[in-house]
Amino acid sequence: MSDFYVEIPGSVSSRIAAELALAPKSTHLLIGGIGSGKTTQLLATQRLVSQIHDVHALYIDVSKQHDIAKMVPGVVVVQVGMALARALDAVPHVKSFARRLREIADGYFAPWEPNYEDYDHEPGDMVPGILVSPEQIAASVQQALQPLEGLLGVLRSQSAHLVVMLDGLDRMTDMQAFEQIVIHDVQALAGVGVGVVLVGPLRALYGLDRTVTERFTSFHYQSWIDVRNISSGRMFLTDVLRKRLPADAFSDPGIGEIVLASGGVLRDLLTLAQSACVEAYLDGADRVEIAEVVAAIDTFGRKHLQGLRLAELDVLQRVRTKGSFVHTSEDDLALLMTRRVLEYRDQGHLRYAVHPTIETLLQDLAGK
Amino acid sequence: MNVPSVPSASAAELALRSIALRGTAVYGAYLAASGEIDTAIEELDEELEALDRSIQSATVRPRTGEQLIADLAATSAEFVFVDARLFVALDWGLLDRRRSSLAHAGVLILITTFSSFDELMQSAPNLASWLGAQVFAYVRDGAGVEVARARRLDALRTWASKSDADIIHAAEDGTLPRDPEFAEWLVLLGRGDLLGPRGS
Amino acid sequence: MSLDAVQKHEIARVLELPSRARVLHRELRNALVFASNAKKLWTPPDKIHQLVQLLPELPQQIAQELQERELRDGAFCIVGGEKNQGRDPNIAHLARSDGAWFDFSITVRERGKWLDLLAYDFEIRFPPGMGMPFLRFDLNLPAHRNEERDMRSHSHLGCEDILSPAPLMTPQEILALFIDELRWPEDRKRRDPTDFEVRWFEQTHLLARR
Repeated sequence: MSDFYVEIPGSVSSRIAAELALAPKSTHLLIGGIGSGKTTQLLATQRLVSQIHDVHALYIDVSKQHDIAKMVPGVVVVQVGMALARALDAVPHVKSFARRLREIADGYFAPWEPNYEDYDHEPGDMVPGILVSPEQIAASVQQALQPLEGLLGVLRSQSAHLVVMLDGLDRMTDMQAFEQIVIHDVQALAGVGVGVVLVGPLRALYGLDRTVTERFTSFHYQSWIDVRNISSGRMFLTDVLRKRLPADAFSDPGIGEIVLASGGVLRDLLTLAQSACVEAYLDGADRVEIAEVVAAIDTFGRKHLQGLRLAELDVLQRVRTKGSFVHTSEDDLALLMTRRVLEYRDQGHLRYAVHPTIETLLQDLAGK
Repeated sequence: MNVPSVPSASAAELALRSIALRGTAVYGAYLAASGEIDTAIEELDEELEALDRSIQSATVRPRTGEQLIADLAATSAEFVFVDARLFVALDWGLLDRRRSSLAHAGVLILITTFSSFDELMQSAPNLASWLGAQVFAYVRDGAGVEVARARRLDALRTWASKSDADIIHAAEDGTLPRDPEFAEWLVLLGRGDLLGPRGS
Repeated sequence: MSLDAVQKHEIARVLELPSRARVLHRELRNALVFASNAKKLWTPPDKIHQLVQLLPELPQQIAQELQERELRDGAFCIVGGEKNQGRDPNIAHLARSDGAWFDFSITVRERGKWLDLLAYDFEIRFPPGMGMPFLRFDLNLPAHRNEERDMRSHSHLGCEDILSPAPLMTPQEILALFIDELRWPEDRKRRDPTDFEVRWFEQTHLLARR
């Protein structure tokens, strides 16, 4: 875990880890906007869970080995198995399971063996890998489960439990495919006693897609930090910056301005700070003051406005002036996904605002 | 209602910004008209090399997002310029999903058209967030040249208490002093043909 | 006695210059940026980019088109800082870390594969106590009356009307001189001005006021 990590009081990772400590076979869905720190929280969860006696925690980025636009049931189970095989590499008996998982992943030739039973393929046929073909749905999950169970048997001689952190699926746009993964893979993993923490797409929170959250033991929302209204949120982000920056690199007003401009989005906080440092270098400032931050905000905001259609600009103006946002269409949801609109949740209360970096630009547009 | 455009930067300025960000994994975009992309990349490369000859840079020209992933895997250059002018929403969407495969321990700049960038913003929100505040529009070095030319001519006229016509006449006559100020004056007037000795 | 031999020696040197004006412009600009990074200059990088400009003889688009078609070898000015004949410190210039400040103007012509250095003036102004108010290196266009007095390449040591022979230098060399040299030595205590110098400056001041 990076030296730069700053623990958020009451963080999602600590809540999930606490629940897994009590129920290591539970399943958890973590959802949050782009740049909200989901991966960071997932890794933090792994670190915390690894400290629990008798639990082995694995982090897996599902999108690294498979195009998530082509997600089919079984993909996740196979990847969990392959990751576990890598972790147990030095242990005897693991290789055969690993080989089997590899075959399922990449495809194999149906063997010329007298007792081989595969009603879908003749001996010598090429059986396509699960990580490509969409044809073998529930059967592939079962296929992948067998070697995985073998690996689990090996693991359980060392640790009682396996918990997997599954990253990358938040970028899925096909919610039906996502639901299939949850129904088949996640349930299958839970069925063999594997705890699961899965980062899911933000759109799972809205509309009919909401029901997928009910398929997990717990649902956790990694929200933006409401820096305008919550001082502890501002302090947390200030600490994040101070930990990463040399002392005196930023003036206090400069840091304050960046924290507010980030809208509570961690990734934007860091990119704004980085940009402000470049501005300070270019204009020869000894440290980042308000002027450099303002330049960084302007550059960020201009980028953030690109690609917007007229109707979307109208929605943004309404959010800016009235704070009202009702997402009735895919376009509205896209404004949330792309962080032009930020949603803050505080004890059930919802607040909407435009990203602070576009606020002034929108104001100027409205004034023209 | 026109959305404000991204700020402009010459290749020289972008190279300087990129050098300042060195040592971190940075993603940026440089927007230009399709016909200017080759020039933008060439200038960027030249400016970078002039700033630090030890820098290893590579230019890739993938036709698709899938190709870009393969190209990136094949290069170890610290600075990578991607000619992404052919990328459409499908490519940006793929790169958004396969973002982990774009991970590059250096500076990666996507050079593309304004319309392609709009599609990136619509189809690749994760990639867009990685770009942060490093998105600029290409402008030729020398924006402001005409203003500078006018100001300098003004200053020369005031200093010498002469008009442009006086200077040209004297140069044609062979009576113009050969001081460097008058050399500059003739060039700024577009009369470099009069720079030779005795106005020849 | 003629200083013809001196002048011939001074301008006989074959200078190594890049073949394109924009490459020379870039080298000079980058030298200043590096100096700024090293805190030898107070002028920050973005200001350097604004102040150091390449001014072509012809409008840019036409010059480029002609160049691409190899139809015209153009002349260019490369300038650093605004034109400042009056030495007004409020006019934009390049500022050194010890308070000295300077600007320059260079005229070149591209001739096929090489660059002709036609003229330059580089002037640095010193803060009080540094021995002289300014130092300027001039290269006049060929066949100037100074040249008849053997001084196409000359310097002005704090006086517009008195010239001294100076060696022909590349713009990069003069810039390096302005950035790195012509400074108080760090390892020596500054000398107080002598009575002669003090009286000289006092009398010069009185002369100017008459």
